[in-house]
This record gives sequence, C-alpha cells and structure tokens, in this order.
Amino acid sequence: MAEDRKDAPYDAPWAQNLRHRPDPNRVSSLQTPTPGQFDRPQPLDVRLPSDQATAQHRPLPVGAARDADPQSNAAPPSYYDIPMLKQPVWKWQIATYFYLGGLSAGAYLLSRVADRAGGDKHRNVSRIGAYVAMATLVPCPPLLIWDLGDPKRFHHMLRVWKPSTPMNLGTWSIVAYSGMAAYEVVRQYLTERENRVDAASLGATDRNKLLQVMNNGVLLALHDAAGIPFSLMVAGYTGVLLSCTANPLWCKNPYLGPLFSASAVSTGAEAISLALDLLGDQPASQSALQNIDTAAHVAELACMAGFSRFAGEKADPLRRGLMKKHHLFSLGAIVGAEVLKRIPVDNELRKPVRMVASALGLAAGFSMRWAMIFGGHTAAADPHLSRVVSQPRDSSIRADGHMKGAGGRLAHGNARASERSLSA
Amino acid sequence: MTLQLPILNRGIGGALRDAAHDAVVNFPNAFPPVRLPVPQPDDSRQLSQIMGFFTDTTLCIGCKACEVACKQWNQLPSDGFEFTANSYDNTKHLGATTWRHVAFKEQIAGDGDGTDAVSRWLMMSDVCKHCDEAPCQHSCPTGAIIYNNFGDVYVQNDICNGCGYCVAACPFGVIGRADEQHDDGHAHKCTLCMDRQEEGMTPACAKVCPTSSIQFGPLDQLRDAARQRVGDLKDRGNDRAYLYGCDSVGDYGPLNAFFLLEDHPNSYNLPVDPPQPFRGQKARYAASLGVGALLVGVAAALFGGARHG
Repeated sequence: MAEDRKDAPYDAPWAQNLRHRPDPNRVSSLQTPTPGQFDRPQPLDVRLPSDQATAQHRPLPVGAARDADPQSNAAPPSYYDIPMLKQPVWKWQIATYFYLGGLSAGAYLLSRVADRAGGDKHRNVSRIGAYVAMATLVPCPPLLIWDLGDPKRFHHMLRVWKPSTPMNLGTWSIVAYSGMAAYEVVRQYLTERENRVDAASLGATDRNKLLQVMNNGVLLALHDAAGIPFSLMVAGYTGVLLSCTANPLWCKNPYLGPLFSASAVSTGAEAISLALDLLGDQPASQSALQNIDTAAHVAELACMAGFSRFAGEKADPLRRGLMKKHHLFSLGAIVGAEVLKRIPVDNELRKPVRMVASALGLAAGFSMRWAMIFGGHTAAADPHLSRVVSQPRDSSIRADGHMKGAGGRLAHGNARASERSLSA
Repeated sequence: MTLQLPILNRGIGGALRDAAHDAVVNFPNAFPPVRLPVPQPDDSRQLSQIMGFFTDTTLCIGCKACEVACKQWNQLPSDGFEFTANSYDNTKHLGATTWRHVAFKEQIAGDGDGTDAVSRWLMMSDVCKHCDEAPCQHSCPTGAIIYNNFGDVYVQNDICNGCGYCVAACPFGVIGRADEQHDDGHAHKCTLCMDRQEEGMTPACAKVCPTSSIQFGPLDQLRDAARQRVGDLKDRGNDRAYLYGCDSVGDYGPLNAFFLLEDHPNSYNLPVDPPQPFRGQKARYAASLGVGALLVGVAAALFGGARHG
C-alpha cells in the first residue's frame, strides 16, 4: 500500500528543496524595462550546475549580497527555467559516424599523400591506408540511416543540391568521397595481387587491364584533384555542421571545424600505424606517421583551447557533469599518447609502446566526438546557457529599433518593404 | 543501451520485403509535382502578400482555446494533463505536436508577507515565428522546409527525412521531431494553417481566439495595428508594452509572427538576441579546410623528407 502523498514527511528531500529554492514567481519590480535596456547583458550570475539543468535548486545569496538587495532571491528573468531550446536528436550513431567518417577521410588523405610524396618507400602506408579508409567508411551509411527516425527515406538527402546547408553538402561529399575511396582500394588490391606474382614472369599482355587503366597518370591526377578536396570536406564538415546550430555549446564556434579536421588526420595516422604494427609490416614509415600524428595532435589541442576560449561559459557542459570525464579523457589521452611515444625504450619494446599510444589516440578522438555531441544535449537542456547564447553581442545596435546589417530576406530582396517595416 | 533495430523484430526477410514495398510506394513522394512557384528568399515580394500573426499578450486570458483549436484542426495528439507546478501551463514548450503553447507567468512583487504585495499574471500564446531568414529552412538538407506561397515557413512532411538538423538549428526552440518509435519520426511545426489559408480561411488559433489576442492578416496591416496598439497602451499609462519581432530581433529581420510583450523576453522563454547560426559559415569552412590542408602539407613534407633523407 503506497503512502498517501499528503502524509509525506515535510522534511523529505524534495520538500526541503522546495522550501529553500528562490520563489520563481518573485520579481524585484513589475516595472518592465524599456526595450532599449535589453541592449545590455542582463545580470545572470546565479546559475545552475549544468548537469542538473532542470533541477530548480539555486544557492541563496548570503551576507552583504542579501543586505544590498532584499529581493535578491528573485530569480533572473526566465520562464520557470524550462529549457528554451530543443535538445539535439542526434545520439550515439551520429557520434560514431563523426568519428569513423573523420578517421576514414584522414586515412585516405595520408594514403594518397604517402603515394604521391613518399613513393615506393611508403607503399605500405598508401596500401594499408586505403584499406583502413574503406573499412571505416563502410559502417557510416548504415549509421546515418539508423539515426534517421524514418530510415527508408535516406535518399531524400540526395534529392536536392543545397550547398548552403552543411548536411546536404556533407552528404554529397561523402558520396563522392566513397567513390574515390573505392577506386583507391581496388587499385591497391590489384597492385598487391600483381606484385605477389613474380613481375619478371609476367609478359606485357598478362598485366591486369583494369589496373593499367587505373594507373593512368591523367586519371590518377584527376582522382586526386577530386578526392583530396572531398576527403578534406568529409573530415571537417561535421564540425562546421555543429557550428551552424543554435546550440549553446556549438553555436557559431569557428574552432569546431578545424578541431574535427585535425582529429581526423590524427586518428587516421594512428589507425594506419596500428594496422601496420598489427600486420607486422616493416616499421619504415612509422616515424613519419608518428610525426604527422604529433602535428595533428598539436593542432587539435590548439583548436580545443580556442574552442574553450570562444565558448567561455557555454563550454561548461564539457567541464562539469556527465561529459567531463569524456572531455578530460580525450585531452589526457592525447597528451598521454604523445608522452608515451617519446619515452626512450628498448627496440623490442618500441612496437608495443607505439601500439598503446596509437590506441590511446584513437580512443581520444572518439571520446572528443562523444563529449561534443552529448555535451550539446546538456547545453540545450540548460536554460541558463540558452539565455547566454542569445545575449546581445553588439550593444551599439538597435537604439532606434533596428539593427545594422540585419534585415533578412525582406531587407535583401525588397528595399521598399524593409524600409516600410522599419519606419515606425 | 539496447539496440532497437526493426530488423531484429521482423526478421531479415520481412525487413527487406517491407523496405522494398516502402521504396516502391513512397518513390513518387520523393519527387512531388510543383504546383505553385515557391517564393525564393531573394524574391521581391509585397508585404501585403505575406501573412502573419500578431499576438497581443495584454489581451490574452489564458483560455488555451488556440491550443485546442490547433490540435483539433491539425489532428495533433494530446500533451497530457500534467501541470508544471508553477502555473497552469501543461504543454511547457512548443514541439512536434504542440504548435501553439500558452505560457503562464505569475509574478509577485513587494513584501514577502503579502500585505502590500502586487501581482500580475503574464500570459502569452507562443507560436512558430516564421522567420524571415529561417535557420530551419536554411539547415534542411532535403529541401523539405520551404517558404510557401503565403511567405511562411512550411515543412513538407512527405519530403522530411527526420535528420533533426532543424531541431538543433532553431534558436527559438520551436520545431521538434516526432518520436520515431510511436510516430512518424519527422519534424513538425506550425504551418500557419496553410490548408485553411488556401481556402481563404483564418488559421484555427486566430479564428477561435475570444479576445483577439491572436490576430492574423497581411504583415503590413498587422504591423501598423501593432504599433497603434502600443501607442494606445502608452496613452493609457501602460508604458511596459513593447513589440518583439515587429522590427528586427538580433540577427533576424522582422518576424512573421510577432508579439506585444510586457516583460523581459526571457520571462516568456523568448531569446533576447537569437543567433543566426549560418552567418559566417564560409569562414568556418575555410578554417576547417585550411587546417586539413595544412596537415596534408605537413604529411607530404614528412613522407617526402623521409624519402630523400
């Protein structure tokens, strides 16, 4: 028999919370500020811990703060702290896709660069890189389709060409890129198969016709001219996509794209390095791969610092709460991998240490994507952050009721209409 | 974490049969006939042809008739009968199945003991703003979200594929994606009753509003009426009233659905300065591709250097 709600003890935790929270209905005055007052950021210094965004508990002001303003337990202007923004609907499938797609593009880029710049010495990098790129690309379309609420309509994504939205441009890029990656895998496979046979025993007529066509210099040049830009897009568009949202964590952050690009290259290098070690290939290319990895890690850490600095308070979902451990792990694993690579060890230990460092780097890349996606969920659920992201950024505007450089569709297309709408 | 794949329930054969059937049945929907020329963002259009809402919150009595009428006309499911525990609000926010939401805001000022306390009750019927340069329309990768022939933002449900980008892009938190387990999994929001407008009728919420708090009409007339209303209120001594969205708000031009408010926008869960997330997109692409190209250059130098060194 359940206890009647009326008989619940008044000192129950929920009742305590209710008693000590500031009255959400209490305001300091009913006098509404004039619209011009919104030009200045409102004082919103009391804030919620972002992991309990929907909980109503706020610390009460103490001492001088309370004496100065007896009404200071009035909540800042808000609608009962019901979140203003919608949480993103993207779940683990998208975080995994962001990771695998980036890794694939990074591995493909390194494979092509090793082929172009490295020549025969780095043939193993270009070969393994092509395979890694294809292996990590294959799960991406199923993940994307899975994420859609209605999987049978994935082809609607390719219904229009709309480069102004990163999701459409990215979908077309990944379609084009997958063609390039497939080309490269077939070429590498045929080359490998032909190399297995003693080359001297092959006559000119025995050589694979398809491989000869694929190795054509002009065709390869065209392939790279298209493949490298498309794979750069696949590596970085995901970050730009996130930055083109109203989510407090991601909104307009210019470091997200570079961060994802750098992470794509570093995880690509690590995956190739790990695959080479696992397959027991000659470690001739390992030092170059490790140095590329280090450069990408440096770029990644710099972008993460820039991201944090740009987002400021809005990056709090990464700094506390559920995503803190993922964020800290991604930073720690990058530093840890770099330290591991530089520890002087015996030659027989070199390979296992390198493999551990590569695995750490791969885990860091995944953890970063995970924290970024699910941190966005926390950020959107935090009513304080949604108020912060919609604070006025330029207070010199709107003194006369409108804003310079704004105006939208009407102002761009119809000067008369906007003139009419703004003359009051 | 449980894996919920339809394929596990129906078996692979059944899933394949279903997918083939759906593909055949839905294929024509992917390429719908174009009935009317769709206005493009740069079309020069007359304001008198663009229809919109003016919601005067000083007239709202919180009867929720607009919510009910909207749900009835558009055949939307109930939101349940759970109040927020702060006031009489049971819908909390706009969403995939809530296209009108009446916000109730109770405010008390003065002494805590209530002897000389003054109180007021702010009520506002919130709705999709039908932005002039809508981020949901901008973000939609399938072209499902368009400006319709009345100049309003409209989601074509047979085109929407449920990617959820518009949900993250909307700075007002308006558009939502329906539950994919129990519903169609597509994005939905206010259509400004496009079907009624095509028949020359008023949208359901404006039609039913008993106090004319919700007014519907061509934008030029609505804006004139709204400015007149603010002037009247000021003449009567209510200097709290101001218009939100009648002129530009933040990065946005005038909104097609705008409001007369009496308190800070945040009190109604409206953003003070909604960001336009697609501004500066090209620079962000350039930074992303630039860092990628830089690292490719480093890789080329390292691979090439190792060859020669």
